[in-house]
Amino acid sequence: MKKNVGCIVALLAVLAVVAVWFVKMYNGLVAKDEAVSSAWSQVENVYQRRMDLIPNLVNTVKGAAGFEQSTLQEVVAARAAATQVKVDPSQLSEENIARFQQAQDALGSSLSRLLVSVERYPDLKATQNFRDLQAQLEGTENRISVERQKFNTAVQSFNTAVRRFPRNIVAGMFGFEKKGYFEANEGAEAAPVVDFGTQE
Amino acid sequence: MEKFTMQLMESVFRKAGAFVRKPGKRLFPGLAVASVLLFQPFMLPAAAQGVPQPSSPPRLVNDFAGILAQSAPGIERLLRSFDDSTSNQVTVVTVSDLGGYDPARFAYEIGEQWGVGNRKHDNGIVILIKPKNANGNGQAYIAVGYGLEGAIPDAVCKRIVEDEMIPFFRNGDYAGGLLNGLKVLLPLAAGEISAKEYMPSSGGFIAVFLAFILIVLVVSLVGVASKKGKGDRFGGPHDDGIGSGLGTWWLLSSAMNGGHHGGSWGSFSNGSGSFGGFGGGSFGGGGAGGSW
Repeated sequence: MKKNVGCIVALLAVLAVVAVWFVKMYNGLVAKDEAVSSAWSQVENVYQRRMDLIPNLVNTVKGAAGFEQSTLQEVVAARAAATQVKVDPSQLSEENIARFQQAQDALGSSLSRLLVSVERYPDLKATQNFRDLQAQLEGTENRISVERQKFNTAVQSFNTAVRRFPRNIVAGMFGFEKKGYFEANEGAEAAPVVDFGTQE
Repeated sequence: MEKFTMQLMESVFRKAGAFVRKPGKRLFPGLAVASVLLFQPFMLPAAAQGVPQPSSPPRLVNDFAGILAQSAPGIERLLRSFDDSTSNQVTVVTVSDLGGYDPARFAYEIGEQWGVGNRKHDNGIVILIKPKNANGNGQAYIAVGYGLEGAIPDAVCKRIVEDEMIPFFRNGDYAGGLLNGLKVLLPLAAGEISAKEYMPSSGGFIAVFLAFILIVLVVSLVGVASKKGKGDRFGGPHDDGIGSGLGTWWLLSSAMNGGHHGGSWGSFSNGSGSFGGFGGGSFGGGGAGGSW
C-alpha cells in the first residue's frame, strides 16, 4: 500500500514538472510571437507614413513648371500597387514578407528616382514646402530602416525559439511557424538615406 | 513599449493561469509567475561598433570632440535641470569622427544603446555634433525618441539644425549654436510652444520667444503657474545660480512647466544637480540634421 502511494506521488510530481515545463515553453513562444506582431505593426505604421506623404509630395512637385510627368506617374502607380499588398500579422510567412517588401521597395526606388529628378529644378528645391517634405521623407526612410531592423530582431528571436529543441515540439503542437525576414537586398545600402545632394 | 509589455504580461499571465489550474490551484500560480518572468522578451542591444560608450558616471553633455570647452558645465547644468523638471532627457554628444556612420544612424544608435529618455515615455533627444575637420564636413543631427516625435517633427529638427545651429557652427561657435538650438528645442520638448508656432517664420526665434514671454506673463498674472497640479507651486524668486541670459529664459520655462518632478529646485540652486543616468528610452529613427 505504502509503495503505491509513493508511486502515485512520484507520478504526480513528474506530471507537475512536465506541465510546468510545458507552460514555460508555450508562454515563451507566445511572448515572442506577440513581440513579432507588435514589431510588424510598427513596420506597417512607418510604411503607411511614407504612403501618406506621397500625395503631398506629388502635389508639391507637380506645381513646378515642366516637371516630367512620367516620373510622377511612376510614383503614383507604385504607391497604388504597394497599397494592394497587405499582410495579415498572423501570416508573416517568408513569401508574404517577400511580397510586401517587393512592393514597398519598388515604391522606394520610384521615389528616389523622383527625388533625383528634382535636382534639376533648383527653384522647387529651394521652397520651404519642399524642404519640409524632404526632412519628413528622410525621417520616414530612417524610421523604416529602424523598424525593419527591430522586426528582424524579433523574428530572429522567435525563429530560434521555434526551431530549437525541445521547444520545437511544443511549437509543432500549437502550430507556431517560422516567420520571414526583411532581406537587405539590391540597393538597400543606398536606399535608407535619401541623398538630396545637400553636401557641398 | 512599456504599455505593450504590460499587455503582453497580462495576456501571458491569463494563459498561464488557464493552463495551470488543472494540476493544482494552490501551488502552481507561483510557478507560472516565475515562468512568465523567465520568459519576458528582452531586446539585445545591436552591435555597438563605432558608437561611443556613455561617459561614466553618466553625463548629459558628452563632449568627446572637446569643442564646447568651458561652456560644457553650464550646458550640463541646464540639461540636468530640464531633465529634473520635465523628465525629458536631452543629451549632447560631440565626436570628431562618425566612423563611417550616417549621422542619422549614429545619433539613433546612441539614443537606443544609451537608453536616452525614460522607458515609460521614450522622451529622449540626442543632439549629435561632428565639427568640420580633417575627417570631413561638419554634421549636426537631432534624433528624437518615440515619445517626442509628435512634439518635435522632423521638419522642425531640420530647421533648428539648419537655421539656429549651423550659422554659429560655421563660425566655429559650437556652444553658441548649441544654446541657440536648445532655446527652441527645450520649449518644444516641454510642450510650451508647438511645432506650428515655431514653423511659420523660419529663423523667427525672436517672435517665438516674445510670444513665449507674453504667455508666461499672462499665465503668471492669472495665477495658474502650477496649472498641471503635479509639482510644487513655483513660489518666490529663486536664485538659480546660472546668472547668464540663459538663466532668465530657463526660469521662465521652468515656471511655465510647473515642475513635474517637484523639489528639483534645491539641487538646482546650488548648481550641482545630480544626474541619475539614462532611463532606457527607445528611438524609432525620428529626427533630422544638416551639414556644413
